[in-house]
Amino acid sequence: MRRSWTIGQQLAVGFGLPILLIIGLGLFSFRTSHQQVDTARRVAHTHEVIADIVDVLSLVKDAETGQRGFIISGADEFLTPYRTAVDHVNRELTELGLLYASSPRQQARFEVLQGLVREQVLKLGDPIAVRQRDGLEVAAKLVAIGEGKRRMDEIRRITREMIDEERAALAERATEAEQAAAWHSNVVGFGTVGTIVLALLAATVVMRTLDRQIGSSVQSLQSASSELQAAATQQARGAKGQVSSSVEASATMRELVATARQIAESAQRVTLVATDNATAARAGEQTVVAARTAIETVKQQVDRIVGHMLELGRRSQDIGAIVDLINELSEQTNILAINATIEAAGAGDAGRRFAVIADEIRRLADRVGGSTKDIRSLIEEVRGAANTSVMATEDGAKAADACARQFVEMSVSFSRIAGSVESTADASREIELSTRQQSTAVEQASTAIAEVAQTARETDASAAQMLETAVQLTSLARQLAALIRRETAA
Amino acid sequence: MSWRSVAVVRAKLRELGRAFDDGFALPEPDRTSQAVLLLGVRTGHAQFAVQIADLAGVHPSGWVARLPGGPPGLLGLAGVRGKLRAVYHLGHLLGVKSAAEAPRWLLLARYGEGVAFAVDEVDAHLRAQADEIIPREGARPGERVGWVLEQGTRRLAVLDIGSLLSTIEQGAARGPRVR
Repeated sequence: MRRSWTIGQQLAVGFGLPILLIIGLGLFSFRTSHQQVDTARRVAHTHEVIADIVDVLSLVKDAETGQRGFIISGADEFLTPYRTAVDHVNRELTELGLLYASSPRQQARFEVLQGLVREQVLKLGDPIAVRQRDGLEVAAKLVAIGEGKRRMDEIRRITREMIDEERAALAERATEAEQAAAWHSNVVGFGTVGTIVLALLAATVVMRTLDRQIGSSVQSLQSASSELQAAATQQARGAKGQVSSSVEASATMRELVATARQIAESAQRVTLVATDNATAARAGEQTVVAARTAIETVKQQVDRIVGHMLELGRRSQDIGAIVDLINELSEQTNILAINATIEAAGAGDAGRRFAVIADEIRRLADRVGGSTKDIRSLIEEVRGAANTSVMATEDGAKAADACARQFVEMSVSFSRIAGSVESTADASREIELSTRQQSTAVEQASTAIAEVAQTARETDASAAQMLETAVQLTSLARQLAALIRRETAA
Repeated sequence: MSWRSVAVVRAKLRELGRAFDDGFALPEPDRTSQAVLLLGVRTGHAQFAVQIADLAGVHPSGWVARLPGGPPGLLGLAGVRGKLRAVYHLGHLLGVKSAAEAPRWLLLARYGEGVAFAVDEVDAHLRAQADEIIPREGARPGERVGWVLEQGTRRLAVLDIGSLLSTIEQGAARGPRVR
């Protein structure tokens, strides 16, 4: 997969490589300059060392020359160089010793030279003192010994070696400086050319790449700006429709809020009614329980009445048995009376009065029989009434039982009604609470819809602004495309 | 017992007491009148009247010993006042469908020694004038129901005990039934 570089990366690479080369060249130049400075410093040091050696040698020579002039002439003015040399030789030696601190070989020579110079300066004073004390000849003999000359020759040899070595180092450093300068010139020259070539190459590559990528991006920008313009137009229409819908929804939500409040008030009334119904249901349940107790009492009374009625039936049967007995007696009396009548009839006139008595007995028996029939009828009526009463009372007892069961069922129903009414009250309370929450939620939703409407209006304005921006962007994309094509063509 | 029944019973008692007391206050009946005494009986669903003069007595029907192979209508023999009597079912003799239960009373015939007629009920003691007993229309002489008692709305056939006895005697003369 080909990696696509960003414009920043391309520019960084395009400018970075020449800059790195320039930095490298700069560092190289700095290093080379620093080396050249160091070489120059060492050359200057070498020259200084040579100058110091020459100065030391010159001081020794001045001292020797002054000594010889004084010995020859005896004039003190010839001792001035000698005294100057004596005064400055130690300082010069010290400076020269400091300059040789880094070279062991030259340090060794310097140590020898330092001893010789000090000794030479010190020994030069002896002939001077002899001249002042013993005169010219003694002093000349002392000088003629040649000890000073030997030291002087040794000093010249050592100083020559030191100067030669310094000059050799100087020549070597000059060679190094020339080589370094040539290398610096080559590097800087080729580096500068390479940097220019690399910069041109990077600029070409970056320009072509940017031309290609920016051209594609500009085309995409044109397409995107056109689509953005279309989308902005559509969004503007949608925002207008959203504003209208939001206004309608806000009105609907306000109506919904009013309806929810009405529902909440209705639910509250339902709760109150349900509470009253629950109280009434409980009162009804207590009334039913009392009525059931009363019915139980009535049932017990009815049972007692049934018992009394059954007892009455049994007593009626007893009375009927007695009446049967009386009827039987009357019937037998009647039969006896009939037989008496028959016997009286058989007795003729003698039995006539007996027949009258027998007839009275028979009629009494008839009346008793008729009365027993009436009484039996009455008893039957009583028994029938008792049986009817018993059946009616049993029906009443059954009705009381049924009524008691119905009261039990009614009590259960009232309990259920009370429970249902309480459940209804609870449910209505929950409905009321839910409706209030719903009302609050609807109010919040109404507020949110109003905010949505406001947002839709802002969106409408933003859409219009975005449409204008899209148009400007489209124009800008066209201008950019024209600019790129013109630059590419150029 | 309701207060109404108690009142009815008390009224009956008062009525019985008053009738009993009135019985002593009534004048003696006319001994010269020719009243006919009759006894109203019922066998099955039919009612008849029997002249008391034809009867020797009325007796409860007790245990009747059956006589296998006897004449038609003969229920058996019963002991009445120390004598054996042949007990005939009156309804059977008259061709009346008898009730399911056994007869309760025995009518002892005055002139037929040893014969009694079993009836279901003795339900009336009747006193009639002679002109209230009239011959039945179309009745032939010697028929068992030849007279009719007409007394107001009451109309009862009057049995001829003698004719019944004759029928029994004729049946007894023909001998026992052959099965």
